[in-house]
Parts: sequence; C-alpha cells; structure tokens
Amino acid sequence: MTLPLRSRAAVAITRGVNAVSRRLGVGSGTVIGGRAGLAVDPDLLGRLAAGRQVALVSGTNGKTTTTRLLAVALEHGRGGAGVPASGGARVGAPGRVGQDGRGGAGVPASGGARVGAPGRVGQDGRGGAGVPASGGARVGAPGRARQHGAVVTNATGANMPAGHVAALAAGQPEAPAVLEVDEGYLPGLVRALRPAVVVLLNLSRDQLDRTNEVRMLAGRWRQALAGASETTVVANADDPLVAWGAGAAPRVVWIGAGLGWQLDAVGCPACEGRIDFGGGAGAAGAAGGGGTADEPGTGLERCRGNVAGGEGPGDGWSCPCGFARPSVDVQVVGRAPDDGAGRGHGAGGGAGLVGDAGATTREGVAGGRTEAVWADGRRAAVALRIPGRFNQGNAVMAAAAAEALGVPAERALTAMVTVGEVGGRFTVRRIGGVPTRLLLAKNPAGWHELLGLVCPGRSPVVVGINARVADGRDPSWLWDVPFEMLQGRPVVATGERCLDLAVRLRYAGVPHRTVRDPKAAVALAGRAAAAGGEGNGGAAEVEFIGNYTAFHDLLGGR
Amino acid sequence: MSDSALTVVVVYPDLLGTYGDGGNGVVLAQRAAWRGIPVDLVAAPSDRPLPAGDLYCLGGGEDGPQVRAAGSLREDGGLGRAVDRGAAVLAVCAGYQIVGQAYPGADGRPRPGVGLLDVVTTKGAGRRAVGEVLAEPVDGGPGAAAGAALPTLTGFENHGGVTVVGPGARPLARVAAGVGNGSGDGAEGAWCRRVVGTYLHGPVLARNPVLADLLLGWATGSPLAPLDDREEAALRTERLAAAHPFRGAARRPWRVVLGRPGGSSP
Repeated sequence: MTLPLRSRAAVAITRGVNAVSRRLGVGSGTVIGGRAGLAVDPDLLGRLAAGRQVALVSGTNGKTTTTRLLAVALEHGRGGAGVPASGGARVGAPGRVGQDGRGGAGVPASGGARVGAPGRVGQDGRGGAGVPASGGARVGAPGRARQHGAVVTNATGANMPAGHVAALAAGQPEAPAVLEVDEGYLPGLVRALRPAVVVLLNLSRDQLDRTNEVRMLAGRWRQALAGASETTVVANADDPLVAWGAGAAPRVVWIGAGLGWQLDAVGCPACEGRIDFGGGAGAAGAAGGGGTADEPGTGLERCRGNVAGGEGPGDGWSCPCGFARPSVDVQVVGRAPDDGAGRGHGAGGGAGLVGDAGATTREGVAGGRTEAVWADGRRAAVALRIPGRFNQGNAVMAAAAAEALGVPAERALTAMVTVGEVGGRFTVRRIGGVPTRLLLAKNPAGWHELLGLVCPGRSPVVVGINARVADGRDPSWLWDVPFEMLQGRPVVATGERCLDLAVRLRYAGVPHRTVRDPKAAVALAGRAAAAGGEGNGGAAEVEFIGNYTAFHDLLGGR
Repeated sequence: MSDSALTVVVVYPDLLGTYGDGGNGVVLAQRAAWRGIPVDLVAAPSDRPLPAGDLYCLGGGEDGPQVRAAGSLREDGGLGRAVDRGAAVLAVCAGYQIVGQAYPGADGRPRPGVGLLDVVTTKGAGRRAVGEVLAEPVDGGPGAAAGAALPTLTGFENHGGVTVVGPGARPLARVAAGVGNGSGDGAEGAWCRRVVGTYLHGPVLARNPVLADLLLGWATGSPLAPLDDREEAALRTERLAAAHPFRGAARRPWRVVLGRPGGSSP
C-alpha cells in the first residue's frame, strides 16, 4: 500500500510532532501530531486505514479496557503469524500444550476452565498456535509475519481522530488496528475506515455539558452502521440503546454482556415508549423501593430514584412496540455460587435500593466462575486479572470481536489473562508510600460498577473529583452515584470539586474528611488504614476512585 | 407509609432523572429527617399514578422523555390537584418547562404543558446555555414576605429553551452570571403559589439549602430548626467565587462569559 506524497508527508509530520511533544514533555505525544497530520492531509485517516484490518471499540464505559483486551488477544492470539494452524507443539509451556492446541481449533468445551489458573498467565497468552480456520486469511499469509505486538492501537485513550491518526501513523502500514473511539466520532470513523469489526459496549449519560444525548447518539450509530456491509458489529444485547444503534447493521454478533445501569435506557429508542426490563430494574425497581420507607433517615438512601441497577444477563427487555432484546449469540453467565439464577438481584424492586445496587458486581464474584456460552453450546471460562463483572463482559465482547478477526474466542480469552492493568486502572501503586488501588470512573454507570467492586471491603476509600472540560464541568452527576454504599468505612473526599463531593457524601450519610490535595488525601487514608488495619496495620491498602483528570493527576503525580 | 409523615415525591425519575436532580428529593428528605421530622421519599415512575405528597420534585431530561413526562402528568392530573391542596413543587430545567403553559417538543413545535406556572418556553435560536449561574433573587424570592428571603442562588445550567414569565407568575431571580430564562430581561426561573421553577442544576437544593428550607417550611407549616450547613456554605463560597469575575456580564453569551470554545463535540 503506497500512500500519496501528501499523505506520506502528513505521516512524517505526525510522527515528528509527536516525537517533539514527547521529548519536550508537554504531552503524551498522541494528539498534537495527529492534528498536524490531519491539517496536512484531511483524508489521512482513511488512507492510513486502507489495506489493514480495523476494529473500532466504542461505548460510554469500558472502551479503553476493551480496546486493550482486544489488542492483546490479537497480538497473542495470532502471535507467530505465518505459522500454520497446526502448530500446537509450539505453544507455551510444556504440559499445557493440549489445552492450548485445542483452543486453536475453535473447539470450546472445558479447556477454558484452566484459563484462570494464576501463575500461568504469560505463557498461556503467547500460545501462538492455530491460526483459525476461518477468517484469518490475512494473518497467516506468507511474508506478512508480524512480530507479536504488531497490533496498532491508541492505548493512551486518545480516542478522537487526531489520536487515531497518531496511532496509525506510528505503526506498520499493514498491521491490524484496534482503535478506541469516542461515541460521537464513531459514525464518521465507520464511514471513513470501513472497519472489519465494531464493538459497541453500552451507552449512558456522560459529560452532559458537552456531549450529545444518548438517544441521539444511538440513532447516529444506527444510521452509520446500517450501510456498513463489510463490518461485523459486536454489540451488547443487554443495552437497548446499543441494540438500537447496532440493530440495522447487516451483520451483528449479539452478546449478553450485562448492563449495570439501565436508567438511561428506559425510554424506548424505537418508539419513545417505555422499555420493560422484565423483573429487572430500571425505574420500576426504583419506584418499588420508594414507597415504603417508614423510618426517617434510614429509608432515605433506599428510596432514591436515580439509581437503577440490575445485572442484565438473563434479563430480557422489551417495549410494547416490539423492540426487544435480540437473541444472543454469546451469553456471559455465572455468578457467585449461590446466585444460580444469573439474574442479578434486580427483581423485587431491589434495583432501587441503592445500598444493594451492584452487589452482583462485587469482586468476589470474579472469583466465582464466569463463562461465555455460545448459542451452539460452546463454553469458555472468563478469568481475568483485572477485577469486576463489567470487565468480564468487556472481555467476552473483545473475544467475540477477536473471533470475527480470525482468532478463536477461547484463545483470545486466554490471552487476556495477561492484562493486569489498563493505563494504570486496577493497579496497586504506592502513593507516598501508601499502597493504593487506582480506579477510574467517569460517569454514574461507571461509578456504580466501581462502588460495587470496592463495596464489600472495609479499607479506606479516597474519592477524587475534578470538573475540567475532560471530566464534564457540571458535577451534578455526583447525585446519581450511590455513594451510600460507602457507609461504614473511612472516606476522604478530594480533588478540585471536593466540596461538591463533601456535600453529596453528607447527604448520603457517609462521614468523611475533605482534603483538596489528592496525595495528602491518600496519605490521610493510609493513616486510617494503618490505624484500622486488623493486625498491625502493615500493608493495609487504600482504594482510590477518581474521575478522569483526578485519576490521571494522581497517576502522573506520583 | 404513615399519614403523619412528610412525603417527598421525586416525579418520574425514569424520564426526568438526567442531571442529578433527583438529589433535590434527597436533600429535602434528609433535611427533614435531620430535624426529626418523619419523612417518606418516594420515587414515582411514569407508568403509575402520581402518589399523594407534600413536596414534588421534577428534574431535567432529554427531549423525548420530556414530552412523555408532560403527557403523563397532564393525563394523570395529580400534580395540579396536589398544588391546589397546598403541596409545593420544585421543577428544574425540563421539569420547569413542562409545568408551564407550553414548551417545545423535540421537533421544536409548541406542546401544552401542565399549566401550573404561567411561563411559556420556546426553542432558543442560538447555542444551548451551558455553564455556571449566579442569580440574585427578585425581591428576596418567594419567602421574603414571610421573612425567609433567599440569598444569591448558585447552580449550573444546561438548556436550549427560552422561557418567558407571564403575568401570572414572577421571576425567581435575575442572573448575575449565566443565561437563566434567556428572555432578554435577565430573569432566571419563576414562581407562583408554591410552585418554583428554575434552570439550575447542581442539584439546586444542595447548593442553596435556604431554598430547600423554604420549600420544607411551606410543607410543614412550622419553623425549622437550624442545621449545621458548614459544608454547604463552603461549597457556596467556592461556587460564588468561581463565577464572580463574570458578575455584571450576564447578558453576554454564555460562551463569552465563561470562555468556552463551544458546545457539543463535532
């Protein structure tokens, strides 16, 4: 693939400007060069994408993580490209050959159960074996041998066109690309890049001061994808807005990936009627919780109507107009052992009970067995090092996307076990000497998930809130977050909008301290952890949950 | 649900729950509870009859859901009956628009409102009003006559409507920063009887606890014990200072006032 002169100049400029930017330390060197390149050649993006497989990942939450999981799956799953499909012998560590080899054949079954075993992570992922029978034509083509790691991706989360240009310009011209895409830019990118795969995770309220209403976004997705004849859409069937956005596409793989936050999807995108989430959640649940709080004080947090939870898988949804949850091709199943129904706890109005919401998202569940189950009966274990049920859903979406690109889903899932953090998320770092797990949540749905994740613990929680442009300048959404879940544990409010948060916590009945400087806040929480730690307080851990810039301030300012 | 308890109803959170305004109900209920007033907080979904209550909160919402909320409320009729009984209403943004006489549908055409407040909203011609707002209550606001004047109101607006206050209602405040009703006279919000409408999110009652207590006082009919509002006061001080440099710039476009590059992402 030869680029026109103008485009080659644009690529050189993109790389050059980004290199300078990185050297000067003024940025991560991903956006500014892309802008420069686009200025030189406005069609640069389409030209850079031509001749390679492109996968786009979009949605309100989980984009960065899913992009990473898919990139890793492709890198590792097709590692040793050019090696014919029978190469099971090369796989990984001795003794495990059989399992890996099986994965290569696309045969499912029990092999997955071993995936999760800790300690074997690295080798598993590398298993370069079977290039899949179907679809992987390009992968195995001679002369294309890519080193493992040759997938192009915008790993830093620069998810608008300038970031895409920078990522594509930096990589090899024919390397497959996995790109995280801002929801609003998705239609344009679908048209410009004609991607092989588009992954649609979820849609919910986010940064209302500057982004479009979610229903409008879903409509624009639908329009763009309706004509995408070369694209396989991998879509979350549990989110009605995603189902609407994907529903007109010629080829859709529907995943029952779950949906922790349903309140933005109550209004039917097809007819403006009202989506019924079965026994699940949504507003009906919220209201159910509301009617009967007799005791002042204790009942308040149980009655807020703004929070709706309910783990989607297994919950049908439908509107009287006929728009309903598509039957799925892959279902994420598995819960804590005592929750065999796989229905979450949304029934009986539980969704409105803020204190309970998200219970099935708890980390403990990640220790329980979760599986991806295909409509044809294949099964594969979903075992990740990164926590949270929502990430298991992301992983299955990524696995289905990998399969559409020629890497068997089982192998893809196995490779994903290598991912221990995503851009600092989910990792434990020492902040001023305090071991701190770093979590990033940007909007009510994301907070709902992460509070569910940290909820069973007793360790101190530092919550960091900014309201810069990248965060959305209106922090009113704090009142859509069930901070009531933090009752009973030490909480420190921090960040530039710590006063907004402090007032929110006061009304949530969560005693807290307010410390504007994030590092000082972590230090304070660290002292609380040490003081309260059962047994000598040695390595008591602190949870830090920040929104976008608050998270990156702490991560970058270590 | 006990008959003696104060009932706070969050109206249609499934439709009008977009901007954190459900927090207004939480603020009202907590401030009652902290004073030992028995209180029920009820989230009323749009597919059921509106329950009887003493205080009703309506929040912001997207265009389509707003139309459905207005339709359901008009059909239900319960809100008007409650107001006639003396119930108080706080209506924010989309909720403010639909308790008026008319508001614009998603297509921009006028639709009939619930008619509890003499205001008419049309679609604005320019960009959405998005940003911090400071507004000085007009003549101290609705509680002034009873000795409960409001202080400066602070909040965050995000709307595309222009609301004109008719002779049957009074403006709640005048903007010192931000746009408010956008009707050219600096008005922000409106009130009449015990119905208060405003464009302010935040939620407005979290940022303006005196307004919360005005509504609670209407509902309880008795004096309210003071609360320790130091955290709210600290937040107010910060937000007032953050918007302060723009005082007197009210009728400049919001994006000039706040130095914003523009609205939605392209």
